Amino acid sequence: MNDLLSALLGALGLGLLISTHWEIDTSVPYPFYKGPLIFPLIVLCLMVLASLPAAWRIIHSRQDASWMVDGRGAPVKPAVLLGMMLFFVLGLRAFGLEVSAFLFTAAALYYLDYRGPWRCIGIPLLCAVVLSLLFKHALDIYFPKPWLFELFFRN
Amino acid sequence: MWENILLGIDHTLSISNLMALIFGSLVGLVVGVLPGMGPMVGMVVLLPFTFHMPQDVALAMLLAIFCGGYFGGGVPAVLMRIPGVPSSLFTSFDGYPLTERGESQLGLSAILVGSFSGGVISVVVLIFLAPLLAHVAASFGPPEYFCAALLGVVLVIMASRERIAQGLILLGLGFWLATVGIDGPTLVPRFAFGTMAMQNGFQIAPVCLGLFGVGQALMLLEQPILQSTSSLKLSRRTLDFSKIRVVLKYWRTIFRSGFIGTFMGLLPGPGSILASFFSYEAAKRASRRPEDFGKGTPEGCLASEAGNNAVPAGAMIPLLTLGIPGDAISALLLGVFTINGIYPGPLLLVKEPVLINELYFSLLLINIACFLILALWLRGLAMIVRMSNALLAVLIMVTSLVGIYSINGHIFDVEVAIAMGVLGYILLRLQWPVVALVMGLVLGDILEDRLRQSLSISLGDPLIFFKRPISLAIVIAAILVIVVPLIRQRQKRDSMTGKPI
Repeated sequence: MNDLLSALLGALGLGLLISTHWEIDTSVPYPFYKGPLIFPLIVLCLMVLASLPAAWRIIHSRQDASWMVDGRGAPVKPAVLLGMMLFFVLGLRAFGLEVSAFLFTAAALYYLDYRGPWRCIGIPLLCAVVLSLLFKHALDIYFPKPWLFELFFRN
Repeated sequence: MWENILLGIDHTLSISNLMALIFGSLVGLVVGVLPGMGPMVGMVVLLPFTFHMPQDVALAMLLAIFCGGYFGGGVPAVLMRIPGVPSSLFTSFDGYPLTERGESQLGLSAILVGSFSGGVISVVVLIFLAPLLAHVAASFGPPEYFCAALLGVVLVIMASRERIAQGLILLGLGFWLATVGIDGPTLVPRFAFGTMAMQNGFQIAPVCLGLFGVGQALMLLEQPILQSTSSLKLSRRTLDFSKIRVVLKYWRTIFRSGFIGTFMGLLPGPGSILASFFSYEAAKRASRRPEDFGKGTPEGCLASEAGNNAVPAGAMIPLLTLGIPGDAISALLLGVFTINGIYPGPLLLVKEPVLINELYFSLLLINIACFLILALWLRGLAMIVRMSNALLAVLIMVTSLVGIYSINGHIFDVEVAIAMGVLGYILLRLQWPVVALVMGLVLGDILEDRLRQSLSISLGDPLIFFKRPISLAIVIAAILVIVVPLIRQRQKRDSMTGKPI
């Protein structure tokens, strides 16, 4: 798995190295050593070179080589929580801070077997209220208006 | 000079600064007591809040979390043989046997006195050594700065010697992340992929918060903080202050460990674990009763904690005078400095004397605050280990995501934090040196600027780094840092296989 990740990051570096031609405007009137290209080229070459041994090992690996990460099983819980985080980001726009924070906290705690009326309703409610008070009122941060509620109230 | 010192004291004692110090110390102690968290998580979770504070208050709070984390790490090491921070591992060797003998108060007194004295000694060294180093660094030009930053990077990579290739890949990735966005000198967009959001580049806050906040929270879901709290043996709510006199008998160990820890903090790379290890070993070698080490002697706890708590102030020396961070936490502090328009380097001590004095006095007060909070609220803080890891992970995630949005009001930053959280989780689980990625991101801009300035001076001749005596000396040091361990490793391998060296 270490080799696979090294090779993937190396491939990313190679892809970026190839894309420098399009992604960096080299027509600026600067010599190469003063220009915007020199440092990205060096660091991307560093990435690619450092990943070559891992790529070599992967290409020449035995057929029965193990693809297990570290023997600690598949990361199901982190994957589910990541999905919930993505919904939380979408929810920030759709429902607003308070509702999305409540839903995310409640769903995540329920999924993680931290259950009960206080744990699944009380703590998320408290969390949503504290976050709202802290960020919206104390720090005066602007959060996007929830479009779902806008839609609801307009109709 | 005296005016600046008095102004520094005045700013340190302002209500907002004191509140930040106490709050930061408390947060630091909590994340230090909780195994698997550490000061970095505390710092990144509170990082978004610091953007809404005056720069000196923000720095004081982050420094308090930094020091508090090391302070608190020794408590579960003594009471449960579970180090709160990795560097407290050596504290548990003697701390837990003391607890088993019913002398947990003696062990706790040792870690508190050790942490406090290590912290104070390192601050005193910082006060005297920083101006000297700044004086030397004042003669540095762009080539010297480039080489010094490169040496720092080499030391960090070599610190994780078993994973050099992975460290280099992450360093390269960090450097690349630093190049994304508008290039300052030429105003050319780089790697924006046609999007407006990418033109702003990757900020340090979402990347660090994703890597260490979200990533560590995801790790927590898989590693229970504590399976059982039945072994929590603590007879009193507060510290038994009468035991402090017993511990103070080992004053030589206190001083020796404090200096070792400061020196280890000064060097980029080794970090607090080696500081703790060397302090412990030195105390064992110098002790009249070395056979007691590992069986429960307060001297062992004292040495280990004085060593690791001297690291934060030690790490501030190269950070303030050269602008070179020695570890991920210092790199984060450097990011906070630059975000606030403060550029660490030799001129910082001349340009911002009040801020520097304020930092010195804040560090002293942080050590006092941590000592008092832990001594007076010992049981309460120790019981924090009973907190559910699920609850802790979810609270870290939601606070991190909302906090990261609050910095610029960009959903893109939240998306970056989540993406970095995934990467951080994978890297932490595979035990890759994540510090290299943070170092790359923070030092990327500095290295690129210095490289281009140096090459501009020499009209593109890369030999400029070998023509100037200081830069040449630093390059030789960097080469030695790479070559010497490799030769030693080879000699060790040859001696094990029986080949002649």
